[in-house]
Amino acid sequence: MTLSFTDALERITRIRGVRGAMLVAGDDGLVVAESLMEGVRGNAVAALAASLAKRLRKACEAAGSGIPSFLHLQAEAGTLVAVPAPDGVLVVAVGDRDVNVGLLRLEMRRVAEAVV
Amino acid sequence: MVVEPTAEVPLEAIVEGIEAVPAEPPAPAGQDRTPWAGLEGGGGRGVLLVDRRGLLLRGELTGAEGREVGEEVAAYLAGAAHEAERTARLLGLGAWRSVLVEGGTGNLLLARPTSETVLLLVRDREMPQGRLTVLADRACRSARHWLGEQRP
Repeated sequence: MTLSFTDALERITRIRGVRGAMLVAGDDGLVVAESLMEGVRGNAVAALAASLAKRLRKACEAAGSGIPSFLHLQAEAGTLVAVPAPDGVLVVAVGDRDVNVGLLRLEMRRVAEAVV
Repeated sequence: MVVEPTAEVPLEAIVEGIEAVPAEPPAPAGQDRTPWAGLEGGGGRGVLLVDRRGLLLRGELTGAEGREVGEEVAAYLAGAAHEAERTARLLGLGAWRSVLVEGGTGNLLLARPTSETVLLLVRDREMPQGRLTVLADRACRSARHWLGEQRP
């Protein structure tokens, strides 16, 4: 099944506690598509998520754990989650601190497989 | 392998700000009380404690081909922790607490025992992520205790 960008992002943003979802070009951190609540800075999220994913990929490979398939940054006041999709695209979501990460992970993986 | 802090990274700076850690009961006779006591099982590949500049303080990590990769990974962790801090701050998420990375063959969890150190726990993929988080909390407590013991 292939989803439109809008439909794909909507599947993520309808999860309670999600402030925004994006598709990001992993190489340069540019926004491919976004669905964000007011106040969420899309360009910053995209650039920072892509940069963090690159750093973590190096650490993961050096540790012998292969290529990352899921990243979850937990902070005091919120959460950032990223799932690599084919063609170097990252599916990224920003959420509240207590967002259901398990559900978010499942939905983002489905989106990563469907958005090609 | 244990790498002690160098003159460039004074131990006082690393242990500065850590909370007072209550004394742990003595280890049972015949048991070596390591900083990672109780964390060895469950498909563990290693635990690293690293300072902000990527220098290994304590721990070991076995890579894909069975060789020790602790120092190499420690160098990458400093950059990853810095990026996590920057990301959380600039996005208004507050201080970062942990980063979970699900890899093809193993899971990594980065945590902050203190503001000056990063802890990495690596486990096989089969370990549930929730359990990994619990183990990381325990490892952070052990790391803070160990750092407290290093005070001059």
